[in-house]
Amino acid sequence: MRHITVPFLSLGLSLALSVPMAPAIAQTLDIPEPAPLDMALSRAVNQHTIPAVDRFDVATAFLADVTEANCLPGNVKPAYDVAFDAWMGLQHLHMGPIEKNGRILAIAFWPDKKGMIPRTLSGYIADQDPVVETPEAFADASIAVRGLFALEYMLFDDQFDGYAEDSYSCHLVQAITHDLHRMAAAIKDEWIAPDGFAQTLLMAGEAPQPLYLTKEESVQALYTMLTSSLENTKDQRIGRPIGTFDKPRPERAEARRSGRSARNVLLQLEAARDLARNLAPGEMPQTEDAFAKTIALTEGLNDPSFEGAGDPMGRLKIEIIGQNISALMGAIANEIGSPLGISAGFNASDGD
Amino acid sequence: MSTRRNFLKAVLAATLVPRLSWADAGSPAFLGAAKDTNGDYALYGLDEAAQILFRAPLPARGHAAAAHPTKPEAVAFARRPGTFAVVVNCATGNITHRLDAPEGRHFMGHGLFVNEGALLVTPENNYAEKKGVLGIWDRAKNYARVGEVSTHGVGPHDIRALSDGTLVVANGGIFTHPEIGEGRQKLNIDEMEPSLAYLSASFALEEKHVLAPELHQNSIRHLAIGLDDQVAFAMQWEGDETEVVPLIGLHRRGEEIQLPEADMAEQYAMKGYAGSISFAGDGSEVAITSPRGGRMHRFAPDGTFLGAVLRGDICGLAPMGEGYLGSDGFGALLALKEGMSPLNAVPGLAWDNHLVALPSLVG
Repeated sequence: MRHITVPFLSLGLSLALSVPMAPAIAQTLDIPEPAPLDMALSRAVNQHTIPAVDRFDVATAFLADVTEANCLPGNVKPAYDVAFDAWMGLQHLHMGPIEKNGRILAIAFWPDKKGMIPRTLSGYIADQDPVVETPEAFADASIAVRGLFALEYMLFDDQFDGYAEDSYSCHLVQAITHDLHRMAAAIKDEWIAPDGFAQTLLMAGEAPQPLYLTKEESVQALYTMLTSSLENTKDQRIGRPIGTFDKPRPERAEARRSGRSARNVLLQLEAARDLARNLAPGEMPQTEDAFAKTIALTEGLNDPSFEGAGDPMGRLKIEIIGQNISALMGAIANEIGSPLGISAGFNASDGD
Repeated sequence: MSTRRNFLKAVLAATLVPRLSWADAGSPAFLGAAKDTNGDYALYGLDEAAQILFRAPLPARGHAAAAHPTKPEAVAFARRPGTFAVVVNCATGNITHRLDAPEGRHFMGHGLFVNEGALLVTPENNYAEKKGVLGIWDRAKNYARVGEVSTHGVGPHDIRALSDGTLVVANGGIFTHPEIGEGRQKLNIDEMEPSLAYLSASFALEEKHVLAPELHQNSIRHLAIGLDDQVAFAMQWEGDETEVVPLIGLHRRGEEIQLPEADMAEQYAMKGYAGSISFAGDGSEVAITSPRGGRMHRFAPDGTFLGAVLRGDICGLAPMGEGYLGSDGFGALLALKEGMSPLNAVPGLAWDNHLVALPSLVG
């Protein structure tokens, strides 16, 4: 093996080449990590992610208990909202235990473009499918009959919500809520365990189960969750119902049956703001202003299920929220990404 | 007299300057393009343990490279819609030739040496005529352009050869024009018709496959050749991003294309995008990477899904040992199979989309 010195070899590169490489990198490299990055990581994991997984566990336990006692829609609906609210504090963290085993889709199967949920629910109900009898069997059921959106059909859709106590549908609703809590509890356990995902983020290369080689990568991953969740809200939660000017699609709004379309946008923005505040290395006045403005617009919308997308004025109001999210992302890049020295992944953001 | 002097010069040259082989470049096992912290682009040679052997600066962002089968020479291609390719002497890091795409054409980021290294073929976009072509360049003539043939599809991207010299071209189906949207704006999303084309060693079309109509927006982009000339291809979905579509295709000549998928939730997590594809070093399996989904999906040659390996921004992939070498935009080079273990981490170096393996080089 021969090393070839070329005149263009940069200083940074030759330094990097002269040290032993990972996995031993964290022990042998004594380069102090910049404190703001360390602190951002610690705040984001401890003050943002851990409370979020805990809240979802508690909220789904409540939902399962309420449903166990009385499975009828009138009784379950308030607990459903509590659980969905908690999910909105967590759903942007597409990482570790949350994305393991397809949990994200099993919890929130949206958009259901092909109408799989009502079709599959109808089939299960017609067949009295025994899958509802044990948690193990239900965990293997189609994702179209699991999670918050299958439950929304059962509780809020005329086709499904007329069931009686102790009916098959009642047991199906109970199975869905137990399954949600089972997943929430597993996410929490796998997140906070001593060798869990919080440690994977916090300890990076020294973690018991390393996924990120450096703390910078951990922060990068969390930052990507922040930006991609806002993009997702703009493109999906807002983009799908507003469609095009000539063809708005209010029937495509997320969680419109339960009247949560605007609320989900609001809660997603609040979750993103919380993550942004924890990641920001200093003051973030532009970002705060942009969040405040976008959140105020959403709160002032007075159109819970985005029905207004169907008329030009209502559509414009929803569209403006999306435009504000774009502006917000610029502020986040300036005040959080740049000072931390991170940006979206090189390959993820610009492939070929 | 001058004749004799020239003769002596020639003899001296022959004896004093030995012909270079890949061993003179440190026998690299892999090539990869990257961007460094200064924003400069370069082609890197890596040894079998993924340590850097050389760095050859590139004039702009690279994409993939073509390695000569015997000479320590690699051609690094500009990224779409770049019009240059450079021949790098991997023993010195010097650029020895520069190839410029002819008027009305640009490179697509990939190329391949054929005829035992005598010719270089380059997928190109002939944007005036809205068709894909292969440029043919003669190495012995200082890489003069000696011809051009059709790829029988729009937007050709990757190209590979089977053991008998048959060429396989991934016609991505996407039409772009260098003067519109910096040459990367997709201009025909509604009419895309990606295809897999087989050309004889003399460039005649032998076989062509298109996907089912509902998958016509699934751009066939990158290729890998497995045992017994099995062709694997990776796709990038240009349709509605919430659709769950296959991203890998497997094919043997004369047979139907097979489009295996992971289970629905795992498939969805790939975000409709496969950036690179490679067979494992022992040919026992094949994998695709999704930097957007932060994961690699492994499949058996019969299409069985074997599992996912999670890693943010992972993209470059090449055969190594019984598994793979992967690269990402954070500077890491990783040994991959059921799991991952880091082999090298160069902070500040962002590995670009592809790694190229130099499998059968003679030293």
